[in-house]
Amino acid sequence: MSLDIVQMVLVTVLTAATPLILAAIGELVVERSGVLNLGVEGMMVLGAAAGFAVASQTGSTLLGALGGAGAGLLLAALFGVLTVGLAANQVASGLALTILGLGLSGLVGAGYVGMKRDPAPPLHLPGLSDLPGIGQLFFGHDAFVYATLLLVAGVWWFLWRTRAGLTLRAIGDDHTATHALGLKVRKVRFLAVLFGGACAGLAGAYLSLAYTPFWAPAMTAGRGWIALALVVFASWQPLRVAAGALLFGGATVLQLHAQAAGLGLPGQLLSAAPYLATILALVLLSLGRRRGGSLAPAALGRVFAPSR
Amino acid sequence: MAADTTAPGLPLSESGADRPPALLQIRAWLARRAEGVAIPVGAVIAGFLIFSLFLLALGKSPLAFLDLVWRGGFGSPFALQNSLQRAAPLLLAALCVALPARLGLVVIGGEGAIVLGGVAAAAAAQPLQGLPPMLAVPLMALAAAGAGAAWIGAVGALRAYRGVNETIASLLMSYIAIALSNHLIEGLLRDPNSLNKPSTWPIGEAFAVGALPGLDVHWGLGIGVLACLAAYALTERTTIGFAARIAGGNVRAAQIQGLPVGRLVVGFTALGGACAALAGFFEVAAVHGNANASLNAGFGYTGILVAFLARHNPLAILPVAFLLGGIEASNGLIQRRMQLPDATALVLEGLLFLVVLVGETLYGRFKLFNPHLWAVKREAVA
Amino acid sequence: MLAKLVQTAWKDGSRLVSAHPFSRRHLLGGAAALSLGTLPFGRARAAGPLTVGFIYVGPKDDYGYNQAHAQGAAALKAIPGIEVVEEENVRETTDVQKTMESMINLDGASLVFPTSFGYFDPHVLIEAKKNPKVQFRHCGGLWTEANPKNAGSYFGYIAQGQYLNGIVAAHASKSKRLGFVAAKPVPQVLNNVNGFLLGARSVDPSITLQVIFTGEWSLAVKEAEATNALIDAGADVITCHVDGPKVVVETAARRGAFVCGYHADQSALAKDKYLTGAEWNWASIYKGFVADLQAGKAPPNFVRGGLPDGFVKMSPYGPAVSEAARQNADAVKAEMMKGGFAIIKGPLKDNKGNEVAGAGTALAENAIELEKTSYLVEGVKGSA
Repeated sequence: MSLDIVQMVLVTVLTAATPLILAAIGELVVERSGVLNLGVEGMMVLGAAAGFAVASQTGSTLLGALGGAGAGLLLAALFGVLTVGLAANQVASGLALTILGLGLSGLVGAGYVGMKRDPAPPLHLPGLSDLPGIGQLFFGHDAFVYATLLLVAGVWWFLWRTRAGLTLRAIGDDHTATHALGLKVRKVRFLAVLFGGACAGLAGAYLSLAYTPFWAPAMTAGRGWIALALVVFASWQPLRVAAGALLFGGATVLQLHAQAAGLGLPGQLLSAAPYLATILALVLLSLGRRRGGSLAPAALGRVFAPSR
Repeated sequence: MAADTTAPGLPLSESGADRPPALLQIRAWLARRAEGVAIPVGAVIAGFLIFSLFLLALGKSPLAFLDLVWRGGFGSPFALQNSLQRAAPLLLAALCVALPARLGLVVIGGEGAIVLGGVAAAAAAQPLQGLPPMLAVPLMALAAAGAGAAWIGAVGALRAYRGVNETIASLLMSYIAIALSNHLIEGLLRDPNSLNKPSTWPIGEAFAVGALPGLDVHWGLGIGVLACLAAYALTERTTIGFAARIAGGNVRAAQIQGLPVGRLVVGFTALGGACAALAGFFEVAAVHGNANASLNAGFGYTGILVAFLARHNPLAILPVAFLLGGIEASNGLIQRRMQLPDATALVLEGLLFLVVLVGETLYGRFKLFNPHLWAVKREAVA
Repeated sequence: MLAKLVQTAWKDGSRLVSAHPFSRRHLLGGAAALSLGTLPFGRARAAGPLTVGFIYVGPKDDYGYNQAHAQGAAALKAIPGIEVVEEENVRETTDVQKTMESMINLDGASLVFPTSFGYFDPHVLIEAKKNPKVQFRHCGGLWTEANPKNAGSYFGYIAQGQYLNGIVAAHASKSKRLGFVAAKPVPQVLNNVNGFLLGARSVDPSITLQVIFTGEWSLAVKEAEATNALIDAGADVITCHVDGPKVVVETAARRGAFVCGYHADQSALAKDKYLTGAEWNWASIYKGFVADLQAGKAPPNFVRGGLPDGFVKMSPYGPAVSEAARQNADAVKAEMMKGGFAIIKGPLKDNKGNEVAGAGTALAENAIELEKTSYLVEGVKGSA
């Protein structure tokens, strides 16, 4: 019995963390390439709206997920053209993307408010999924959750075990030198931005197609910003992103469960916990180093304009 | 930071002998000035054109839309005052972005400073009860400004002395400020009589800040305009402003010249935070009469948009805030008359922002506006 | 026929107001009656149509608070000579002042309904002073005699509906645990939580209620998470008090729990899992106000009412409601229709063990004490 409760808590935390992991792992790749895209919230919310709309129109959750990822990717492409192609300010472009994404999602989603869908079906392996205590935790999730975990492993492998990953990290640390070496700085960055957009869109689609499943205006409610904080908190390490997402996602959702169990916690303060943890991590990391904060990709947020 | 790679005001390296004739000099001066107007104006027009296509796709008339923007935001004394009212908090919020931008910093945590400033002003009003308003109201404003300065100044300090990315730190600090403010409004500072809408104790009629003479707009507008003018004077007409720009261009060079980069960073971020917090002060003292959750109304985020559209020039903030105020003022009318959802205004704002950013990258690319390109041509001809 | 019904409901409302001589509302009712005669109410626009403005704090299709008002507005659109203008997602800042002014100056509105609680002080008060010829009626019961006479308040005792919800829920619950998703721990919400549990305990005193506060009036995903948390903790009937209950209703039904609605009728979202719901009936109030204006007099300044006055109504029973539950709820409803039904009756303790009502105390729906409720009654798990 108590094992089942532990499992329930873990399942809850994992599902709450999934959208954060998805969005953050995408942003991690973007930032590793030296680009700071603050538009995660906008891509995520548009992904949620577009994903729900496509799934409702076609009746297919898979197409919905692809639609969500595609919407995030399109918005990211716009960002890429601006920042990588035209060397526009990244922070400003990211904020513009957030505003545009929120606006477009409101229009795309307008016809779908209050509409119902069945959630993405969970995996069911006869025997395994019903194992007491662990069955649901390991074999009872929907495809999004497994895809997310695979993605984390894949990104880790890509960044640390492949030549392309090394290139991407090198470009993120010094675009001038890598450009001089003949590496395609802009191409790599543009692809990284697209990947980040697709991940953010998929994270939104997970919210609207599996986690809740419904569309509500501005439903991401700041998760995109938490994902951004998470990348910093995890000091740009994929596995730490996953761990941090479990922590951040867990803190918010378990606070609700604690209330249901009769434990009162200061909810307003707890909602700031991810941000507080991240800023503390930033400060602590900087104290441990002479120049501080140097875990970040060195070229992060800097404009690269070789022709000028 | 892409902006301001060509710092105006720096002496040209040309020797006196090559100096072009006076007429050409005037033309060059005019051309350089014209670029700063033509590109943003062109971008705004382009943004409206793209938005028009978008409206056509939705089956709505762009002309009807523009007509309503005019009537709702600019076309009558009521509409104008409505726009000015909405511009007021944006002026101060934009300075929270524009001032640190002089040092090449991107601070996006103004929203938190606004909310915290409002709460600080409301909290300060309590021990000041009974004092003459001429004394108490400035003290409330000071409390707000101090809270905002400390909050955003801390971001600057983290940047200057610990190398922490100020964009991310200010964003985090903003969320923390909002959560802290909500906690205080619903707990320690709550007026137990504010039953169904938790608020702090009211500041009282005596401390309320009124409207500008002859206008239906509160004093936040007047102070906002003054703050923009002062910020312009500071950044463009003082040695401190000049030092900040040097440091923003090249930190190493500034350090070699012995400029106090750390203090400049902390000072400019703190000043920006104080401005945003003053916007919060006016929301409390001139609008709500107490601090409550409505302080978190998104002025800080729109302020970022204003600052970037104004290219962080404090003088340009004035017309840009007015334009955005007008768009927001007409939004309701557009919603009621054209049955367009509320999100439409966000799409327009996002599009304008993106188009202006594209415009931003065009500086120095048009021959018409760039005398050094003329010179190249003259040399080539010669 | 309908108009007549409305008129009766209207009269009942005013009767109820003056029926309790010791309440604040009695005085206010008197003031309202006075102001009817003395208001310098110019009918300058009598020739043209009467334009009525509605302002909502959220989207008007939220299956909740705002939709309940929008339904009232829709009912007005059907009346000849009435024009309705609406604006949604209006913030509780100077924005709402400007929206009111815009409706008055540009649309010619002569009656404005700013429907969100937070619009009243200072926004409605300021605009009422600025526009003495326009009538402002605000949802929330905040108007006092000191406020402008062209402003006013209306609100309803919807905790009665939650009490009936509780009765039906108790009959449907097998686990004897109910769940409540609440926005903020403010008196209106606490009264609803208490009403829901006390209704359930009138059927079975062993029932408990778990409440989760989300901290915001509208936060869709968190509301879904809270609903899941309640069901995970064993609750099998869920209700809520947030601005848009659709998320809670959908989520609970999908998880197989029964659900009681709030604000508006959400039965379409939960089908056979929907038991019943406590709904606002703003159409009747709005029609009454408009009828007053068309007759050339100002609407009353302060009206409140519950089930008997037609301010609040119940959703039709869903298919899962047993015959016994129907009879039980209908019997209590009949009691309520007489007026003066007390949900809070002593002896009663709060969930921290403090006495909140002594033996012999009975608080009728309009008792002044209920406007300051700061406790959760015994049997509610959660903290205000």
